Amino acid sequence: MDVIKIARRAYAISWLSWLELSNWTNPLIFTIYVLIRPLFTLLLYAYIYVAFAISSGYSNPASAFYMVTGISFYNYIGSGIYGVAWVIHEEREHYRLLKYNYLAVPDLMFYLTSRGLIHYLIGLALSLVTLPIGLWLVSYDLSSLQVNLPLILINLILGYLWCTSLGIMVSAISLFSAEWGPLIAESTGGLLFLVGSVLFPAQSLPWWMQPLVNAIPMREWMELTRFALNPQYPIRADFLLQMEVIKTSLYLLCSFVFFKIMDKLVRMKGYLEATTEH
Amino acid sequence: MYSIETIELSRTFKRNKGRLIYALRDVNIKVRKGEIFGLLGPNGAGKTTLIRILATLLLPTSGKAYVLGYDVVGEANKVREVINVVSGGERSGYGIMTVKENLWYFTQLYGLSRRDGWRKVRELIELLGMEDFADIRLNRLSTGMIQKYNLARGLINDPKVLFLDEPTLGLDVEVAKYIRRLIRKLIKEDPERTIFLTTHYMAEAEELCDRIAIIHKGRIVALGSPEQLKKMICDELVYKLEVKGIYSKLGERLKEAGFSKAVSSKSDITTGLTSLRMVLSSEEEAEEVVKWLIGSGYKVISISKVEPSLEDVFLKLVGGKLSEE
Repeated sequence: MDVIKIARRAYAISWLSWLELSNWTNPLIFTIYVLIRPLFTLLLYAYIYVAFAISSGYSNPASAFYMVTGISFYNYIGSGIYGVAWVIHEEREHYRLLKYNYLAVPDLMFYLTSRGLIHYLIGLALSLVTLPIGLWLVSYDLSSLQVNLPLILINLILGYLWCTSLGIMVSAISLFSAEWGPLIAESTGGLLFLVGSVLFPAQSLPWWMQPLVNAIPMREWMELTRFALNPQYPIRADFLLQMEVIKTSLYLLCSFVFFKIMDKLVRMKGYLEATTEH
Repeated sequence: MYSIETIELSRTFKRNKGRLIYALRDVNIKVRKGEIFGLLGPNGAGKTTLIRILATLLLPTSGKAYVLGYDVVGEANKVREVINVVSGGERSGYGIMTVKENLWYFTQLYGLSRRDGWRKVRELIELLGMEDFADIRLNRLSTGMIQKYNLARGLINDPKVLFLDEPTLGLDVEVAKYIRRLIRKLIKEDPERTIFLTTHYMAEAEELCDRIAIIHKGRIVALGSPEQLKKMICDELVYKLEVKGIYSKLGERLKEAGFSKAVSSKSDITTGLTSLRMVLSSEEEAEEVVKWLIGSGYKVISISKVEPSLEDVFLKLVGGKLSEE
């Protein structure tokens, strides 16, 4: 395996991804554009919490920490999944270049993985910017944070792997639909928000949603992130980490097999270059 | 070993109510290395479907296809390493990037080193004469400039088999000429390279191709060198007639009258004439046609015997002109 060649390809694809994201404006406006939505989302939830605390005369720092960390770090996963799952639609429908990229790279999965990289980096930057702002807004005692950097890094890598695998599976489905691609990509982000213990514990969801909660490693990822920021956070970190590793491995395997099958099927059906022509 | 070989290759598509449409039916072709092979046919004849299968973008329904000995189904990755595809009327790059940036991007996808990549970009810019617009974004280029870029992108990986799908589609005469010159140059420079070209321009196929296959409704109806194909109608006579007035259905009327299955007609509103081209079996038949036309109230301006062209071969085999299909 030629690692340098792979790295060059990944760099070129990420560079393209960056250009597609940012080509329309200058860096300052782009930064404002990227920051504005996550910041306003954070402000909205933070002020709901503050208003509730003022009106009830009761504040709960643990809940505030839960909410702010959830909203901040969801940026990483939300941006990443969208960055991967949106590619098929964008390349096929908008740029009409899917077939040329398909022919040029040894594997379309590698292309999707590399296209997502820059989205994860932007998502991570957003997480790191919004976290201190959010904690400050809810008056959380920052001295209680004890960042476990190795765990954060391991968790970020695991998050990248399972989330990209999920994105690849979603992309494999959107290969079959020119019309539903954007909906599928956006809904997956919404699903992760819902079942991933972002704003509330996933266990509080109805029983019929629990299989879905357990099937997606988002909950483990989110809880481990909180634990990596504050070791007092009450979870069984070892167990959750094991579960995340097992689920990530399964996701990697499933996405590989699933994408290969769908890749063959889509060429059988003749949908690889299908566009809506609107 | 052939550069391209297809054996009983078929491809169907399901249309409304599960009705099966044959895009390709039992296609057998063998293309030699170093050949410019043309696939000639009207829109919807199956030309692009065949290229899509050979380029691994589409799977065949039945039959086999090999590119440089690699099976397009089982060894798709190996096929992709030795081929490239250039389509006319498309833009195979990102409008947000310049010609240079696009080419460099694709050099990286094809695994060239940074230095080799830039060297390749410079070579291609020079080869295609793109110096004047190499630093301009693709979304600001004219159709001709884009097609030059498309060709450059198609040469990035030095493909041993280059598929050109309607490479001069929509181009003005000068650019089309330039592209045709370049296609010949590509073969001259690398005699091992094979060019598989689809077109519905008869003159282009005749000028460029060593051998031509005529495809109609998914079937190969004739295959040979342009000379061999023309010999297919050496026993027949080709006549050109001019009739005063605009009669768009005159060709069909002649066919209905039972004169020839190979009639093409074209009306020109500027001259007020309708031209007919007919493949006939004898001079007597030509006289019969003239009599019928006069008897039906048409005014025949001229009739002349002409040299058979590839167009007439197509006319005879398919029963109509390419543009009429």
